[in-house]
Amino acid sequence: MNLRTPLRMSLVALVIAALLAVPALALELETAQSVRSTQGVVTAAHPLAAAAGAEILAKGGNAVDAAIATAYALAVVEPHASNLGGEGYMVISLADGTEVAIDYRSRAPLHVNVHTPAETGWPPHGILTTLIPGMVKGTELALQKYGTMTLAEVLEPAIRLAEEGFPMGDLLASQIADAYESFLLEYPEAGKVFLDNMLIPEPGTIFRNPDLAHAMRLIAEHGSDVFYFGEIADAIEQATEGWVDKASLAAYRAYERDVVRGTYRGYEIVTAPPIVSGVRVVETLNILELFDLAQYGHPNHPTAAHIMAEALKITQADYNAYVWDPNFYRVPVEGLTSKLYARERAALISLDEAKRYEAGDPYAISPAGEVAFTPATVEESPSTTHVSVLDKDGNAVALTQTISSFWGSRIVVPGYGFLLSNHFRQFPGFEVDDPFRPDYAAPLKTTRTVLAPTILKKDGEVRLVIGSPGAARIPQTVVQTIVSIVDFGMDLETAIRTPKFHVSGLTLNLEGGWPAESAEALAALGHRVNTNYGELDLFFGGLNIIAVEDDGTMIGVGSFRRDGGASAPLVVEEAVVH
Amino acid sequence: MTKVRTAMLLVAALLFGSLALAGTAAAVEAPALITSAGQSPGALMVRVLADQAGVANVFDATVGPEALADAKSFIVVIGASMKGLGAAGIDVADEFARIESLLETAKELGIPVIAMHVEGGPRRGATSDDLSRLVFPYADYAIVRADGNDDGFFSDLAAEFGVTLETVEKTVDAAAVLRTLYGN
Repeated sequence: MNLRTPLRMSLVALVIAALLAVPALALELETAQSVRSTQGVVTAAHPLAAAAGAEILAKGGNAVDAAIATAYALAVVEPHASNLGGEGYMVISLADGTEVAIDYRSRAPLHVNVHTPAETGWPPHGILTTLIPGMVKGTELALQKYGTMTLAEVLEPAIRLAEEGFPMGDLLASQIADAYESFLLEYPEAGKVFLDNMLIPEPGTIFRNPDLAHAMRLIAEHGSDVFYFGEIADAIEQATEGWVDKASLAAYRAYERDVVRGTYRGYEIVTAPPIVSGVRVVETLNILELFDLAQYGHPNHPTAAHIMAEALKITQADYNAYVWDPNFYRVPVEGLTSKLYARERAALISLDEAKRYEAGDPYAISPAGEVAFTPATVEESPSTTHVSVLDKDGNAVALTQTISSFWGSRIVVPGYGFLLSNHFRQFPGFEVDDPFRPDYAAPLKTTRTVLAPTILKKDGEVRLVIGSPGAARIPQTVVQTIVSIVDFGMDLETAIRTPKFHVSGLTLNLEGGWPAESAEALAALGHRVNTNYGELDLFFGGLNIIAVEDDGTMIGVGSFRRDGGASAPLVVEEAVVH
Repeated sequence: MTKVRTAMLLVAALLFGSLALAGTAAAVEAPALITSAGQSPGALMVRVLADQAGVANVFDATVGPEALADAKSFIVVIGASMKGLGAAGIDVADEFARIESLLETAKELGIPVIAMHVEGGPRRGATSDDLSRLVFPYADYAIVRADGNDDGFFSDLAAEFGVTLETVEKTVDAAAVLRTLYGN
């Protein structure tokens, strides 16, 4: 797909340009799976969402403005993966050196307690799975602090998409097909929005969501207050039968947090702090830095893959034990991301054997903390979406947002056309014998998830903006892609296309395309190799990345594993006709 | 015999006016038993279409042959979905056996069989095609979405087994065909 979307210049601008009798600048967008630009790039899980962000760049907005425009556009064109009733995490790196993370994870309503999840019975979706949404508050916070445009300006492309509609792609149609029975029989409001005369829409059908356009117009006019205090808050309370009540909505806060920093072979890593998994990306890369991976020539070489898999298992054990809601617990970030700790952990890896690992002791390095707990099972978001943005001035945003499962709770807020998430089911049941677990439900607490929006810099300049959906695969796919680029010198597209693995315990899932001899060698090391996946399989995530070449050219590539796209503003000189 | 009668009625309908015209003599009678062959969401869509067409129906995606006792026609909606089969707790072999027993019972009872494939090209695949090969020899009539028949697969099956085939451009158009077929 290659769309070239003319961007209308305002009449005033045209008149001024004509009066000045100088060549006018006609702004256009280039949107494709992969684009090159010096004017800024946006990559996202849908080309129309990427184009929404690029339109904002073309209008003079910065990376933060564009990222938020893209985030809202994704709620229109990829509604099953993220939505206004969901949440996310954003890592911002500005050209002036500012580096900050915006935490807009959804949080538990005020009325819940440690016993509540067992009382609800953990339904897969429905009212009792919803949490207080964070997207509207978080994006507003980011825009007010680090953007240059108004909410009305950045929401305009998404509102237009929702009102005018767009041709539905195969992926969205198939996702609706998967949820068809429940939309038809259990969630009629979702059916009203996403079905076509009670049927699964056929690919190519023009999909409109005027209710969502209405909600976004209200937000554009009134800001987040209308969502957390006003008429949309009323509607959320009503749609959830008081589960997400107005008091809880009014109590919600998004947070600015310090980013997590690390280094990897001369690159500076800027990533998201706990409760998401940037800390795991840094710890894994710290371990891998102690091995000469380049000697193996390719990330699918069995020894290289084995080392990466072992490192990821070690950091999974640490992540499971120590990374909890920082509003409630002191997380040992300093220890987990220290080179000294990585050396201790790397020493556990054998090149001859696949192993299982226990959590280490990062508190030996971090200031004393109080949390170390490994749950028996860690249920994580299987859905999610990622946006990468880099503007012409060098400002970058990596943003990952989610409603947990595809379609989240399946609760659409009537009259406003957006879905609420189903994160609440990730809170475990209370155990009397273990009363202080860090993952118990509590008012305004959030669940753990594995988002890993990350930026790599060199000598202070952004070189890579990266992130992915894909639940437990997210940090693994991000790490493998960084290694492919940094250690193996791959170009961006090759790095994305290179078959990925996902390791869980001794099970090593290999995406289609792995060399058979690598699979055999990995099995010989004791990995339980599973090759039952296709090539470029959605299971392994959906990387949307921007890389910067040495001459400053930005290359954006949208995911090959989803309907990803990249978009960039073009500046074309044209003569003015008097 | 039922197949011959149905085909004659349909030929008559075609001779004396468009199938899309209301008021054509019913080729088949309601109530219809609707089931899935392959557990894709298409069967539920056909139930919606049948309701929209005013065709009295009983829908059960995993029904057994005993339910045919109360039916006057049998609609089999073909479409294999591994997710759907998994959710229903049915393996592929069991699904083939269930459908075959339903088709044999319909044949014994003289109940006309309508094969439907309404999810187009995306719902074609080895298992779906095998289910089609199972169903068409028993079918009197078939309604398929055109983009699922780009390669002539359903046309060839219909010709081979003497099934009257109606193709529709969009899934929603199948309601009109059902309406005509049932004389509503």
